[in-house]
Amino acid sequence: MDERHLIDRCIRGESAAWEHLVREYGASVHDAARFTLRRVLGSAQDEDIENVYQGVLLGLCDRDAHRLKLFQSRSSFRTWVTSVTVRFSLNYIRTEKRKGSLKYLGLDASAAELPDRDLLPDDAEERERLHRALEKIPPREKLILKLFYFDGLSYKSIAEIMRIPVNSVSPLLIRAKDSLRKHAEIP
Amino acid sequence: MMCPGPEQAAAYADGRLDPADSARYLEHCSECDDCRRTLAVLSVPRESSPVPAEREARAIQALRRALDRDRDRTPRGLRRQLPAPARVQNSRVGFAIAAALLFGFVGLLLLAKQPSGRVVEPREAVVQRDPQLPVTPPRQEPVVETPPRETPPQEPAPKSPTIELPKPAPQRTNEVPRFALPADPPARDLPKPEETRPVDPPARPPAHTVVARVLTEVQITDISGSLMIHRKGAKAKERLTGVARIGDGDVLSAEKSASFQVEGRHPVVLSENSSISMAYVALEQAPWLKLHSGEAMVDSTGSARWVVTDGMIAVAVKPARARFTAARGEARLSLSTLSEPLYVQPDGGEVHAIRLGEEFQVGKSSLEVKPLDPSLTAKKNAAFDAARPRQRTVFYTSCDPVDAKREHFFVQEGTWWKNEALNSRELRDRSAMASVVPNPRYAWRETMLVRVRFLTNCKTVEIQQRVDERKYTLFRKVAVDRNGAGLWQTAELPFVVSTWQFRRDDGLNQLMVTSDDKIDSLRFVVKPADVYGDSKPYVLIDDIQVVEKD
Repeated sequence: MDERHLIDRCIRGESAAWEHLVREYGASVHDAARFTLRRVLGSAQDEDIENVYQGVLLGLCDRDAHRLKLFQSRSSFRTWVTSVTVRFSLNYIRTEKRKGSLKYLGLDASAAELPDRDLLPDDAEERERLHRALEKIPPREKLILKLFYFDGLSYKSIAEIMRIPVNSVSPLLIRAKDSLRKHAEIP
Repeated sequence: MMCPGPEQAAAYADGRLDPADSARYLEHCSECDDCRRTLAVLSVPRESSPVPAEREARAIQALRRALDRDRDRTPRGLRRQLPAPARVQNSRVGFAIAAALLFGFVGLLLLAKQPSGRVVEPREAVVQRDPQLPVTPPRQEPVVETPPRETPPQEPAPKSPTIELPKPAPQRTNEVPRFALPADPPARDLPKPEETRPVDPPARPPAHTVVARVLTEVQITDISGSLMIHRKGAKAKERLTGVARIGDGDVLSAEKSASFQVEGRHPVVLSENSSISMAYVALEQAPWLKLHSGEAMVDSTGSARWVVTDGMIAVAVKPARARFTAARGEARLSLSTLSEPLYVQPDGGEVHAIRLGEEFQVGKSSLEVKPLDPSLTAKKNAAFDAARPRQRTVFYTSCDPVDAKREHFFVQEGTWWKNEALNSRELRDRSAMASVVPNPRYAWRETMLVRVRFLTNCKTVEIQQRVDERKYTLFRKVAVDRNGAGLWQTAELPFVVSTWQFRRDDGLNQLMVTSDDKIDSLRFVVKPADVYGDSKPYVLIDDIQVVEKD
């Protein structure tokens, strides 16, 4: 079924269309929820994944599909719903952290995908100094450092995001680190 | 910048943002953690795992309940009616606008009654302007209007005499004989010097023998066909291709038709079984063509001088935009023109004009002009066109500073930057870029190609063409095989836009290359880090040639 047609039917409130949408795009929502929770928290509990999964789908349907109507076909629906899920997950984590209800577990085997690339040192002062230095370096360099060290992305993913050749990632990273070192006054 | 939200992230991930928005969004991502994380998740490839069945069922049930709740709260029929009054109630501004419009409309109606006299005024003004400006379109209008009113034959009648061609025609016929009559005598006068020659020989018996000249090397380009050269002192012949330098002791020979360009603009075609030598006469600033056997056809477009000789007799061809042939006979040299009049001066003799359909034969002490079969001229022209080079070197530099000083060499006034670094292996300079400025600049055309010889120990050599005016660089990398490292290689890169990458100074990723874009510099870039082995990086560049093919 055509993506736009399905969404229009959902907006009209056809329950069969919603069911179809869940079966077609639910996996993307589920994956994005699980992945984001793992990336941010280091692990993802089933309960949290389900909360996000249902929260996103209900959010789309809620208030006369108010949220779904915001989809303007500027991207594919799958990308859009994944993007919405990531945002929802991040908000969910923030809210639950505030409530203190998030349970942290040790990294399970499947969560070991997050590479160990700690840019920030343990020392609070050092950490603060690095944060300040990060604010001073050019946006492009800042972004590549964050993508590599904070988000743990591979060169390939970074290249894809920044629309640069994979070969350029390493020199850019080196330059960014030099720049950071200069601004942080690290010898 | 406010956070543009997940829609922007999705659009960026799907590549649907324009370059400017993309750049802005990436800049925002460097500040906004949520957007950056969203992009990070979207970019990581994941294997989609199915949702557990119970979880999916629960989600569907929850959705159904939500839909039912919505239906209970606001029946669909009502939902359509409710928004309308709500909008009206909330928008008092709407009332104000409607009232303003109403007042405005009434006001306009009132005004429309008063200025009825004013409307007439402009009409009167237009009427007054007509006689003042007689040149403007009003003239055309009466012409268009009148034909249907009056009889059509009367109106065209005054027009026709001005356009009629028959009257000027007789004037032209009168002009032609005026030009024809004086033109004939000088043409026929020229062969007559033969009659005056008997007077000359007693005064100077060896009239047309070769005068001593200082000869230097000449450079030829765009060699096509099978052209062999027997270098002075060499044991064997070698085949010529591309670009070559030849001196008076070298003999070029062609068993079949072959051709090349001299000074990058004068095609020379050798007929079958011809052999020649070529050099350059600095004093006369002319290429020197010595016929050993056969025939050479030359296009001297650009009004260049030539010196043609068979070894005993020499003829200076005066600057003339003519295509001519030179053939060697028994103690005589024959020249004929294939296009325009050709002016020649045998060594020790006077200047003579050869016209189309004539052949100029000069011996040691004889000179005569003979009629030539027109079909033969046409045949030679056809042979010339068939064998001439199918390409033209637009720019060439041998990267040898000595060559640049030889004006007759087709080395343009290229300005080299850091060229020693690339040309001198001894310097071992780590400079990674050389640039040559072609002069004149050449425009980008898909019929062109760049050919360059290089020797390097790097894995790639990047060849760049820079357009300063529009601030972009087209570049292409040439991979160097490990076995080819340290050996001279030739790269030939056609100017096909799709095969070149580009880099805009402003970072945007769209480019329209036009034929108006002139290349300001040719650059050769190697990366010191990109070296085979652990030796110092070097690259030597030579024979940069930009060629335009027919």
